[in-house]
Amino acid sequence: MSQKSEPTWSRKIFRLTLASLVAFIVGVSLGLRDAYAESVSNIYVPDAGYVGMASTTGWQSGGVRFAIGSTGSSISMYYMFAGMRLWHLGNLDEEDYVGVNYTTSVSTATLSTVLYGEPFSTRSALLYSSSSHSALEYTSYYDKSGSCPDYWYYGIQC
Amino acid sequence: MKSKHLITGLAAVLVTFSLFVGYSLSTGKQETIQARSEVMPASPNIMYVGPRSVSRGKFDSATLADQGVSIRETWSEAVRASEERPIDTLIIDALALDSLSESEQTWLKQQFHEGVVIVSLGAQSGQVAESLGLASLRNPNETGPDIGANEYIMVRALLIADPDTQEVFEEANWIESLIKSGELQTPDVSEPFYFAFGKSRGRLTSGAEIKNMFTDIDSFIRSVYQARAEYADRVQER
Repeated sequence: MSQKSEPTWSRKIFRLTLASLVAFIVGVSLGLRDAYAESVSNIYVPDAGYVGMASTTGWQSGGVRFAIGSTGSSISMYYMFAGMRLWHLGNLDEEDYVGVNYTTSVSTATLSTVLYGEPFSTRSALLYSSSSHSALEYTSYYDKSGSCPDYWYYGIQC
Repeated sequence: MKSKHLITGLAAVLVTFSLFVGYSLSTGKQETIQARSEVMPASPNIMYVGPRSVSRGKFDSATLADQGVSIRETWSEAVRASEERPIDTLIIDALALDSLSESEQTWLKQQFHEGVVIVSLGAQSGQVAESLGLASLRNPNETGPDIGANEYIMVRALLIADPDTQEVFEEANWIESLIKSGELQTPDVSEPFYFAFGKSRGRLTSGAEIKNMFTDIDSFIRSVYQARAEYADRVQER
């Protein structure tokens, strides 16, 4: 009858490391719930065509909601803007506006909130040349209730 | 002959004076323009100005210690410390805002315009705006209550461009425009620019909200360094 040999110390350490790694990955997966992005592509930009993109990407971790607003295009724009807002009880609790010229992408800072009632909303603007008209788009996280001018300007959900 | 000597003398005085003024202006400018790094340090410099015995909601000296925030009880200490190491974030208690002198306010406004994240504890938004040289920090459509004694408001502004372009933005009152409308009339300039204005507010009455405040501070600091690095790349590419 063959007797199973005791695992060596190095094998024990290897198993422990592997188990810890799996637990870490599971923990991260559980912590990062509700990863979501409202993304609109092929936005028509006057004088440039269907080249624009707008998005709000959000996720939830440790009781906090995070979001980032982005604007992009497949060709360089004269001017690009991404602005994100979160309204709460009649106030703008979170806001960030970023503008860049001669670029193909721009993003806000990652903003966070412990409040779960209101959405983060992004206003994306693209301008192909100084004489063109702007293309505008609204996107939001955690649902689409912030994807309209009423929420952006007044906090009234769509 | 006498008048000729007088004119020569006056000319010499004028030339010496111009030389002195020119030199003073140029050296003065060198002193006020502080080069900021494009690489974010492993531990950003977060400084608190106010009484060491701070207590606003659950925010106290233990919070500052936990978050690695250095404490300066007076503005002069803060100014001196900033000369040794550039500040990334200034957390200011309302009591410290009350004691701000004119020269200290000039320094604070300079920090704000260089991209330093400003966090005020317990001060009404009007007082914070005034300290930063702004008319208001509230959007006209905001109808809710102002900042309470156990609340904070955080702002970050950053404009990166060449001096001529910066002047165009300042003339357009870019920060006030973004606060009022969240929009900016696109400046007609040919040189690269980057601008950002952000604001966050919340309560200091729960650990979760205080943690969230520091998360937003970290995010704003990151965005400033990232913007500086991206702008440097764009200028190099041109």
